Amino acid sequence: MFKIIIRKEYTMRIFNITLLLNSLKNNKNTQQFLLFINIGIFLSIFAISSAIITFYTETKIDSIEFDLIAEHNDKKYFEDTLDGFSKIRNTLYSMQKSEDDIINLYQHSASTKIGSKLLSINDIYLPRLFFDLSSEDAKSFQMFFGEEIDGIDYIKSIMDQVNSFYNSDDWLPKSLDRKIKSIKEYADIFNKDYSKYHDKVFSYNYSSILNEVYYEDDQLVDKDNLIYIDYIKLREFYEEVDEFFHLIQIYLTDYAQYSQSLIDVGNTEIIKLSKRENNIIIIAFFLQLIIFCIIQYFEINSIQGTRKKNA
Amino acid sequence: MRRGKLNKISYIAIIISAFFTILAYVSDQLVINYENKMRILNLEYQNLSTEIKSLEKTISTFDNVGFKKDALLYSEIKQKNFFLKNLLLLDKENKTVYTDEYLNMFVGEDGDQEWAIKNIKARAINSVRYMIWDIDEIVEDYRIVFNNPIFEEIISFSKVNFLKKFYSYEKLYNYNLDKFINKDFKNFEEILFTKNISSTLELTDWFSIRNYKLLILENLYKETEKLVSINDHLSKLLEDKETQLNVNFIKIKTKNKYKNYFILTGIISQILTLFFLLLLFRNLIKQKVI
Repeated sequence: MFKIIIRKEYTMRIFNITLLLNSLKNNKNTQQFLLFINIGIFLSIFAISSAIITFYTETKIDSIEFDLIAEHNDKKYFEDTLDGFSKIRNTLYSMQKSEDDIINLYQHSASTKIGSKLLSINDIYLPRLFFDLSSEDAKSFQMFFGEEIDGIDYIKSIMDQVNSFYNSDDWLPKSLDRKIKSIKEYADIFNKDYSKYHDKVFSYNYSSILNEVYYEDDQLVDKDNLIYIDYIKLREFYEEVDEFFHLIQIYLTDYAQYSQSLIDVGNTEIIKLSKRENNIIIIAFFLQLIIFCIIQYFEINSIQGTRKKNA
Repeated sequence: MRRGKLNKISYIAIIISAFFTILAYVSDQLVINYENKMRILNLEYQNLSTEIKSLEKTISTFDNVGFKKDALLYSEIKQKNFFLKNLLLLDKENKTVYTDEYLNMFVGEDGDQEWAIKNIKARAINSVRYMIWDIDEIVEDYRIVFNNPIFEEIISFSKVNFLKKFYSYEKLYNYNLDKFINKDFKNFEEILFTKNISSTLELTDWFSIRNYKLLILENLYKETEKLVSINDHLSKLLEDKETQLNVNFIKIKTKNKYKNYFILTGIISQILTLFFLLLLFRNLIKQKVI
């Protein structure tokens, strides 16, 4: 049954082709077929030129689109980093604020005779110095003093990026450079070994507490005490770092805006190229139509001339 | 030219159309091949992107717990001697030159100094209890963060060992018995958590309580210091994944570019096949081969 159907289909197709060939043999139809074939050739040339135009434009659009994706990723990265800096600054601020509030209260209390017996420099200032300067985290601060972390000089890298983004006479690179220089002035406190104060911070000695209460008469604000001096320096260092982060935030905001402007330019370029592509295809169609009509005119004329001769 | 014979142009047209047919077929196959490769790459890209987001969240939570721990440590360590010094100054048996003056400060309207001293003692013992609960909360936060399988991959870190240091302080206490006057942990713990006991405690008990608080804080400090290397590890991992994501992105970009080239080559080849077939027909008709 299946074979019969296939055979029938083949019979029909051969019959159709035979009909077509027979009709082609008829001279009357030749001119008509030539016209159809010429239209087909014209349409295929148009299709080729359209495909080439599309090919060229799409390649360009494709490249812009990927640049756009990369730019979107960059923008997101800069915005995420901006958010990260903002969080660090907020945490730093809330920790500093709460510490300042407590220390102000302690200093107020320590300004009385009894208060000075209850609080000492070792109780109030030493722990912060110990934790911040001897912990593993403190090593990351060394990047401010030209030390490489994992083989990267982060500060130099940031400065290079900022310098390449802004003009040399812009205020931000200058301010950032000044800030890095002023931060570097605090290098000496990070070179001190505060880990030796571990036993003092975690002191389990009863007699040392008794000494502080019964015999020692330290003031909580003692400008000659090295721990107090270093504590004040550390505070100033954090303020400088906070201002440094603030400048970085400005750079990141500017870069994110620049990135957005590049995205806008890319989007406009894609729209422009798409419109141009359509226009070129339409123009190409009409140009080819004109050429087709001219060729067709001459071809019909030449066939009619041959017929007259034959007649 | 005789009818039924193909001329040179016809042969060329047939060969060219055959060539473009093959080219169209090869292009289509390459498009399918590149599409498959891109599907895998896109899948990898999406997975990597999700992994990065998850890792970023984990690092952020891990950092937040770290900030919480630092805030507790900074605040508690500053107060480590405050209550003990108060109680030493208020000790009527070992008076200093300031004891009477200080005691007089606590005289209320009804002349009751004891109530104020009781209040200091209650706050002193409560500060240790609250601190232990706060540390338990921080450790629980760490436990939740460590549930992420990424921590299983860190060879140098064992979450079980880390958490074990905070389950019970008995071992820590017994290991540091020289720091305590009370050598019996069970008895000490009972004193620490017994309600309304603070007013009955001696200075020696207060000293043990103060040292116990300090020992727990030191334990927290030492154990969490080890986590700094984990943070570095996670940051490095994130950096590696981001680099891999960029590599994948470039791969997808290149593959997509080639795929588009093959699609367009396929289309142009099909049109050219048709074009040369039409030229062939045109030539056949004009040469009256048919």
